[in-house]
Amino acid sequence: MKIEPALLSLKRKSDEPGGSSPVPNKKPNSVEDGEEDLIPLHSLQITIPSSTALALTQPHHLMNTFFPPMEDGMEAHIEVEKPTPTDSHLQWSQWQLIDSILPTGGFAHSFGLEAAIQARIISGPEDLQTFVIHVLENTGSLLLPFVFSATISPDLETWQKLDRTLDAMLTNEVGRKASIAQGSALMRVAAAVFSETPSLKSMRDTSVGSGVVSFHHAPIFGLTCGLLGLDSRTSQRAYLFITMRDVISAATRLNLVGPMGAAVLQHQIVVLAEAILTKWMDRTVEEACQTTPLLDTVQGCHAYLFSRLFCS
Amino acid sequence: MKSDGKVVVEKVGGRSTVTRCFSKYPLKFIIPNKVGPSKTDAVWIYSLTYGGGIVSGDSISCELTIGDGCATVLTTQASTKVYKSMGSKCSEQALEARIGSDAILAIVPDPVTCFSTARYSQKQVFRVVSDSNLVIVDWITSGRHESGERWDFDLYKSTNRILLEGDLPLFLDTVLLERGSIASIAERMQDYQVIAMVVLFGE
Repeated sequence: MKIEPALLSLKRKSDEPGGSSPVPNKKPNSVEDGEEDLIPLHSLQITIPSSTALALTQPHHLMNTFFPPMEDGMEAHIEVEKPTPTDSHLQWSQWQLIDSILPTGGFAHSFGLEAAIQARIISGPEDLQTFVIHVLENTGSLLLPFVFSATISPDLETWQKLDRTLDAMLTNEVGRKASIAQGSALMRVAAAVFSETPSLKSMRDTSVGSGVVSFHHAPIFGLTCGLLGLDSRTSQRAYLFITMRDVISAATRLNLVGPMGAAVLQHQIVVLAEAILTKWMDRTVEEACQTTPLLDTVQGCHAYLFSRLFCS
Repeated sequence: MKSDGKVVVEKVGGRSTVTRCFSKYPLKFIIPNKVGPSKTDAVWIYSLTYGGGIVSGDSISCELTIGDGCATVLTTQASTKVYKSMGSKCSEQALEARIGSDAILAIVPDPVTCFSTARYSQKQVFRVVSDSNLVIVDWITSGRHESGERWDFDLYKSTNRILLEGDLPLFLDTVLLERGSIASIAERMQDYQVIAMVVLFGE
């Protein structure tokens, strides 16, 4: 059985200089001598338990003896599990932030879905998937830049500037008010819940009543993620996630789809949602734009609905 | 700023008057005297492009200055047609307008019509003071829909900015309709053939 050459050069726990010796196979993607910690990905899977260092000097012909034989061309990865206490706690915080049980009032907003149903743009569950994708795309193009900028620069001055800019960009009054309602609620909750980041509370206290800040949702979400220590990719993905979560939840309450159908739909959209993230992430707010103006217009009609369940 | 056109309107003898008007190919301004009722004090400016449309790669920019207390209307002779893009070039239009105190500027053009595969971007920046007045109409049709071209262009981007006393953003809006997005433009526009935005600012 032929195994793709795998070159491992792991740092030793001992203070022996030079690290472990590289496997003598010099294939095109070989590791140069002296390059430690480089673990090219090839046909080997090694899981190293935490707090263990492993020095491997493995002559090629002995590979089969120590590890189970691998299929030709099999992909592999090397996991070094070294969870630190802060990383695990961060996961809990992350999940709590995107859990619908967090009392931010997201359930009161349908993101224009209710208006779209009454405007006959959506007649059945098939239209719902299209609608959710359009909402996600518009969220990506318009709001992700604000989440991104706030996450990478979670300070008072940046946040206030982003808030002012978004206030000028949310020209749809219904959407604007919804953003303010959700943002205010999120900031209040996050300041109380994540007490290990006192700057959230102090920023909130400084800005409340000053009239300078409207408390829009996207910048505050990004700010919270940034202060918690989440990376910008995660925070942008999380923002798309909670948008999708809220629209689909609204759809079940509007009887457009049942709870099971909603769950199935949510999973079906993941591939497109990730594509939307990849397309719109990591942009500056100067690039923020609307890509579904029709939806924006329809959401603006929400205020004229004679009978309505949702705020927006 | 390098401009292909510049118009300045000021009060002369108590009436809004064009005191400066300059335009360079392919832009042209026509300022007829007898558009509105004679009792109304307003200057009407028609902007045209030679050839009746915007050709791939054209870049047209103009500046307007509306003096205190003046009234001006900027409009077009016909819809702004954007021809197909050659070699992925994008055509652009830019407008920068300054509106004075107690003045009004109304931008009421015909809609933009992008032909199949056209690429077009426009940017309009309005610098106002607290008692300026603005009427902005910005609209686009789906294309030559009688010929079957419905939302068949490659790129349409329209940016409108209203800035108060220099830099304070009052209104920022950018619409981007681009082929190759997750959902096609036609799908995002459903059965609608035209979309318009109207902004009213002031008293």
